Amino acid sequence: MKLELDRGKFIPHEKDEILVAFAGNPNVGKSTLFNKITGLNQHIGNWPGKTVEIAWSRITYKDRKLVIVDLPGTYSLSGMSEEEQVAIDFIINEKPDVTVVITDASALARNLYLLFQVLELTSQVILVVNMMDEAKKWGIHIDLEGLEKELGIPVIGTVALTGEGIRELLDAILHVKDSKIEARNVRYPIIEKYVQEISEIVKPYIDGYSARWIALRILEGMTDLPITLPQEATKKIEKITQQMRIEGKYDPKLLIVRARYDLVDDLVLRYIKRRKIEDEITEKIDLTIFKRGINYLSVFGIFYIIFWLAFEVGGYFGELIDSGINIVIPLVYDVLLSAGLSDHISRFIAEGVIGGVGVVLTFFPLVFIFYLSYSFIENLGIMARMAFIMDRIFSKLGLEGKAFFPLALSFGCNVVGVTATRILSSRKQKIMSMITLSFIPCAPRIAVLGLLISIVFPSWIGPIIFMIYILVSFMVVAFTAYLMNKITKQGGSESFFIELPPYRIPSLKVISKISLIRTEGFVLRAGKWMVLGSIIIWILVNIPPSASIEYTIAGMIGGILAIPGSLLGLGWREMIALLFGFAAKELTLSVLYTLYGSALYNLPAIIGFPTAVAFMTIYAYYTPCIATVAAIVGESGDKKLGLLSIFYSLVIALFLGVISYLIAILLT
Amino acid sequence: MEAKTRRIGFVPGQVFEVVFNNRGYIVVEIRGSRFGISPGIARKIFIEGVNSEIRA
Repeated sequence: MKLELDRGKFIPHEKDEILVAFAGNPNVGKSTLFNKITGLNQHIGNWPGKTVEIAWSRITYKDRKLVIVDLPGTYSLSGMSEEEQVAIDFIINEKPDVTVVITDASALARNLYLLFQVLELTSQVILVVNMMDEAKKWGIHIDLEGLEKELGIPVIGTVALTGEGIRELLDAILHVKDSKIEARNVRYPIIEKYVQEISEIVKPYIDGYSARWIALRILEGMTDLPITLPQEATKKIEKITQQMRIEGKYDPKLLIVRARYDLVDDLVLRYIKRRKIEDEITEKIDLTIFKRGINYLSVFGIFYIIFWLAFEVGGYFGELIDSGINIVIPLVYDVLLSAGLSDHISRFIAEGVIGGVGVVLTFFPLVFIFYLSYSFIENLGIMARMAFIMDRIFSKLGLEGKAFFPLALSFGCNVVGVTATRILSSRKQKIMSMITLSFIPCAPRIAVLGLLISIVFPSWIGPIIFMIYILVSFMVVAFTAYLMNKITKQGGSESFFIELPPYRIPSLKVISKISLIRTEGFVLRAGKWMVLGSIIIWILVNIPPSASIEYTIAGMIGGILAIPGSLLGLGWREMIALLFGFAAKELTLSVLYTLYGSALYNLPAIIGFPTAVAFMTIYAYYTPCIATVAAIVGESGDKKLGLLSIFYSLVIALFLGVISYLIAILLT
Repeated sequence: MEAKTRRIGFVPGQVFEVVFNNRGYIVVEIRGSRFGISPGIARKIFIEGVNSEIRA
């Protein structure tokens, strides 16, 4: 956690702009508040070197310019997760003028812990007590004025959904920017003298950091300090910590935590009055959906709804866009031709470039509806419970429970599956899911595979063969996850914990806005790779111009690939069909039909039963389509991962192809 | 009845109660909020006699 950035480097801004950071626990309505204040005018970017996203926006209020940054939701600032590290890095490195700590009015006893950690970093802080309406519903009364006097910082009550309190918050931001706030700090009984002693030792080397914060991090046992201490200072500190152990037999880390919570409890006792009203709805639903048997059924039910919405409703709009693109392409071609461009250049622009953009646009409704339905159930409070239920199964593979969603969505489309990996909590989980999900057959691959099975096998055994292929794909997914888990030494259930927020009806306006921003992000990240892929494929199949397919670059590549393919009896036609399948899985069938005509229905008789089986097997498991690879590169930001997904799946497909070829020989 | 866990940011040194237990997968209430916890984490939390306080 070294200083990597100067202020303003991550989010460039003018000197007269006020930089405001929004911090808070997950599920406190932080993003809702951010969205309510900033509207659609947002930017989203990954913090350097992390997968964690930060959203920011510019607004003008009372002729003052504000840059508001929505930091990732964190429970504390101990630096144990990527989100926590990013939040700490931001507050330290970007030095916001004002840090707004947003809390849930009904969970202050837990949320205030983060406030005291933030106050150790900066005193230019505002406390927002959000969801005041819910607190009222649960019979909670909060003395905001009392808290304000006690803490020494502005305390604002808000209802983010309705916008209540936002004006007061913005006024408070201007006030804090223009004042020097004397906030209350946590005093640590028993170890306070050690905190001060260490603060004195590190003071000459703090490089702009708070000496007290550094001292606390040392006592908390954090080794990744943002400063370098000379050996002499380190020795002095070691002596103090040794002395502490001898004197007190206590754990300083636990004492620090306890002191913060003691202060929280003291505030809660004095300023929050609670008439205990039970959340019966949450209680009843939880007790039902967590029951054995019902738990998995509820997950599949919810998943079915998302799947249906994304692929039926989203698919419908995707097809409409596709039809529109198919009308636009010849129009563009005609316009370019009449403008004097050559036939070949006109076709390249119309089919290669516009066609590529069209591919991206057809994904837009699918991805948007996925994000919309996902955000809805996430904000409703259900997604956390689904992830919790599925963890039992997925942890055995080294994946977290939420990985169920990207993997299951891949049955519809691998691109949507890759996009859904964004919901996972760590980069390792995302990478593992991206690589494994490409073995889940998508809808077009399932359709082509089903047809090939009906050609190669008698109809009575077809469904069984199909089930075997699906079963093997699950086995490959499990094997790949296991292998990656071993390589990366990623733990499964050991580290799984998730907050189960109370059930709440989300604001459709807010989740629509968030989904739209996320979808735009997807189009920008993966879209460029999809367009590039589409252009490359166009060149491969159209150069040299007017040549029949076997004489194009793609045909020649197919011919070269047929040399190793001949070991399994595969000829250039099959190899070209597989090559086209890399562009889009359904193209394999249309290429086969173009090359074989109606003779395709006699494929086993033409190329032999074992070869036909090997071809089917390779088709079932080989490289994901180029749009999926583009999505992997776009989402992970790592081109190597795209290549890994291609080559690893090729190796697996060839291995299984050989096995199935040998089995088919034995059967004939 | 305190759970001493340093690995989880939100429950260090905290008192909690289990509201549901499905073969080691537990739902606990910590300071008024619910958390789902897997058996691996749960084993680490339930030290220092906390087990005796488990309700579910």
